[in-house]
Amino acid sequence: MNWSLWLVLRLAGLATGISVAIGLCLAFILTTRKPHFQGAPFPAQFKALLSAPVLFYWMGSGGRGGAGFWPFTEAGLVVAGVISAGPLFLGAARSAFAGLDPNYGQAARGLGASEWQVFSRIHLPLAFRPILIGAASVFLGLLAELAIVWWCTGRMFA
Amino acid sequence: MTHARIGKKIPPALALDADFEIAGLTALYGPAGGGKTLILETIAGFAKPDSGRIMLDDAILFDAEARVDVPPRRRRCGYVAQRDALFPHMTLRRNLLFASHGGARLERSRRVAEMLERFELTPIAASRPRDLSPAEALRGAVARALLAAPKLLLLDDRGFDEALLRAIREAFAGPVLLVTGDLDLCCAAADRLILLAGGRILQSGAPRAVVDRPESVEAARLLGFSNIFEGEIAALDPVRKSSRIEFAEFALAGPFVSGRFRGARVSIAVLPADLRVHSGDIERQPNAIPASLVRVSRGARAVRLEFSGGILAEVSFAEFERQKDNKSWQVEFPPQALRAL
Repeated sequence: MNWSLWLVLRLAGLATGISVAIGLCLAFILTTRKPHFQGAPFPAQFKALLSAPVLFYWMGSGGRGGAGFWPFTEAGLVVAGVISAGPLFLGAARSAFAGLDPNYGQAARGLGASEWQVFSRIHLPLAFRPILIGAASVFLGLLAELAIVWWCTGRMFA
Repeated sequence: MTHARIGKKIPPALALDADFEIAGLTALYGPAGGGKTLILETIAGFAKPDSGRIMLDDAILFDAEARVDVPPRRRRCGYVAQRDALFPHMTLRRNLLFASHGGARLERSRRVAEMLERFELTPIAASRPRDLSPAEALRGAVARALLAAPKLLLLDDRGFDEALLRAIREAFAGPVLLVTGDLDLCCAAADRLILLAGGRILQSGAPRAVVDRPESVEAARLLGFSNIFEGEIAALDPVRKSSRIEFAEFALAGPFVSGRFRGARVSIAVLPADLRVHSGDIERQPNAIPASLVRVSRGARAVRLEFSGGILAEVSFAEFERQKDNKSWQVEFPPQALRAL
């Protein structure tokens, strides 16, 4: 694989986009099915557990002395990025929704809105700014991690 | 028929146990923390009662025994909450459009325009909620609730006035449940008054009847009867419709107390404004007792006089100015002002 700044940006952008899409879907489920998920662990807790193996995969499989248990492809890197960054974004989205005034959701439900309408037309626009900040943090984090991988695989082991 | 029987415990503060009917404009009056807002929330579906049944137009919204719990979006209860809940990211017009679902777009716009006009909101329709005054935001919240075509309107205590309630009743023919701490508003605008304290209904009925004839000591206290004394019926005269009641330190002539016998204990309540005060130097007035003035507090429209024995009287500023130099006092209890509880 030929590493370049464009590749790093593309991989980070793709992984962020997929993380945001999956994270918002999960946040919707966690927001609307609150009683069932009240005891669920905070997703960001997984981040520390996942980071090390993901980085190991990135470096180990791609480097000269790596195990290479998964072909070192763009898709593989995006999947790894989503596994690494997804929980972080989900945590940010969940916090953003939890910080909203519950009165707005109640008012919308009282007016006959479905859970999806409450989420898409009330919760999402109201939490847009913190979600955007969460997505930007995830993108920058991935960029930094991929830059390390690029540096390690492209220069150190070249 | 719109009827609610609600039981809910929130230990240790409140045990709600209320059974009432909603017809016309029903006002829920009581002290803060008595469970008024909780009743609205349970009817709207935002809080789940532990027991009871809620019926709206003969449709069951909640039944603890049958395990029926209709979600808030299907209850068709327009709820105007105590806190402003206009969506801040939408203009007032878009807030109203959100509630106006069903029908063609043009028809919805027409309904919204009509509602804006009715509540005098047309000039500010393009404003965001943060730019509205509290009164405008309240009218906007009411207009939005009405656009969702509710079967029951629930109004929490948010500074409603008689004019706004009149406008609501012109726009909405269904039952309205209003939570308020304003007794004057209850008498002026409500068809029915429910007194609620500590999660319990103390009394209900036509506002004038409830305010004039409290049935219990708690209801009397809630309605502002600060003078409540317990005594014994010494004489009853059904012909003259009068009675004589003896208290620990004095005796008074009062109205006939029906359903009680001589010797029975009775509580007598009197409004501070119904008492008359005189100088102790003049001849003893009928049904008056001598009392010494303990404290004077000046209110916005009247002066409150606190006498020994826990007697509270309220007089106008002019009356107080006329009598403020009295060396001694006597307090008159007009027989018609005495309410037997």
